[in-house]
Amino acid sequence: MPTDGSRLAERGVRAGVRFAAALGARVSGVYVLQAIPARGASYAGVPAREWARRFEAAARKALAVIEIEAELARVPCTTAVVRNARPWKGILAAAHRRGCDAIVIASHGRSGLGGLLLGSETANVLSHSRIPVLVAR
Amino acid sequence: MFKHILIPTDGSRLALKGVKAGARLARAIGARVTAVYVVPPYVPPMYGEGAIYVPGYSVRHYKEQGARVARKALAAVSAAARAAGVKCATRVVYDRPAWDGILRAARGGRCDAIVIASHGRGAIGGALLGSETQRVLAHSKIPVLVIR
Repeated sequence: MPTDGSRLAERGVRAGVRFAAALGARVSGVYVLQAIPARGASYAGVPAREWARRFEAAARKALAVIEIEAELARVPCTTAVVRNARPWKGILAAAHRRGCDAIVIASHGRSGLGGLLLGSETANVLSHSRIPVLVAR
Repeated sequence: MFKHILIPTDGSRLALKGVKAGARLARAIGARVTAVYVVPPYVPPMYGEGAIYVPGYSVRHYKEQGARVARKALAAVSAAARAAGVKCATRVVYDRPAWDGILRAARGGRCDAIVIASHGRGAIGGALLGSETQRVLAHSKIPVLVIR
């Protein structure tokens, strides 16, 4: 179950946890951290280390949502932060490494462009995944 | 969770993969299944100003043939559902494009999920999604499980 912390992704998370509960499956939550600021640099007056801390805090906050939902539904759950420049690659790598047999993902995340299209990361996950993908809307 | 799963098929081997997975899923969560086959409506071949009617080949003939192919494809779904011990209804929809027919069937049957293979008959390669599957995904208001 990938998340980017957006409201839409959270909707996918809730669907995924319900799905897992119905099937008796366990879930893995994953957040892909995209940008790792170069060490020592500073952006917008904020040192890189502080940025990294903020990014990781955002990731943990997003994953905490999964943990809470899973606990409420009594679904065994682990979460991880993955680093990859391309979220869909990070998602598929995490699924592979953890031996997942399905992915539940929201149709859109943070950069959704309206109701008719699929989010770009979701589309990429769909076209490259070797395991079934449930797209929650 | 899901109570009523729509499983579209075009009768291809790849679609059958989705059918089997859908039946297994329905069994695991105690849902019933509706299988749907979409037949594109007859369009007479038009050349310039007139239509060409081939003797012995009529709208009726086309419909019968479509229904026969549909029945065969849907029988495979019924068999898979029976094997999984799942209640299964079948529907033939006359519509074009196919994805629209699939979504109409989902609305009409009040389905709460769609299980579809990543490719059907028109597959080009392994890396991309089938065109109808893509459109179902883009336009569906209910969750879609894509089987690879």
